[in-house]
Amino acid sequence: MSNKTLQLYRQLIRESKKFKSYNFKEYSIRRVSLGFRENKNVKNSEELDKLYKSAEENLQMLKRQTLINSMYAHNKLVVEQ
Amino acid sequence: MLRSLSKVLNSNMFRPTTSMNGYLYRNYGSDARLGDKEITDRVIEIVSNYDKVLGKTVSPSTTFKELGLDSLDAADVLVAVEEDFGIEIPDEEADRISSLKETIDFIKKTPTAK
Repeated sequence: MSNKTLQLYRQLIRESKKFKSYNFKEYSIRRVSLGFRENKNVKNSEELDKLYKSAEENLQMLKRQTLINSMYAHNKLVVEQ
Repeated sequence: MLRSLSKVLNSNMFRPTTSMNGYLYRNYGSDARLGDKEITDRVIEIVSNYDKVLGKTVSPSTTFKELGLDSLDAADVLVAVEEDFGIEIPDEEADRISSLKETIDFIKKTPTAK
């Protein structure tokens, strides 16, 4: 996997960890890591470009959502305590 | 809870360098950096708690590949290390790190690690 892709992956995981609510956080970490693993054998450069673009868009979306998420108070779930 | 408590107790910040009138305090400007052993222990703990590593023996000289981790798994481990030490590993460094020893060395030269 190219360094560029790994950098994007790290950014996505870091951003996902910023969610304050447990469910959002766990879902996005799981979704990011599964998504990258699902497509790890893709060789077609056209398809890779498409995937890279959609991951970038998702990163922007995650940034917006973690920010919004942090503006609201959250009680910890029982599993987090 | 217990883990965070032991972290506080282990951290150099509370290790007294001077004692006066029975009070323990740390001088301003004295080195608050983490000790080598503590860094090694914590990195080993993080790595051995990663799903795919559970049950394998982890030593400071192991590489991620030897533990059966691919590049994505290694990225997961590095982000977990970043979170635990409260630092961010820059991309150029993170691309180069492929073993526990390199991870530990990077944290050693990062003064903000806690």
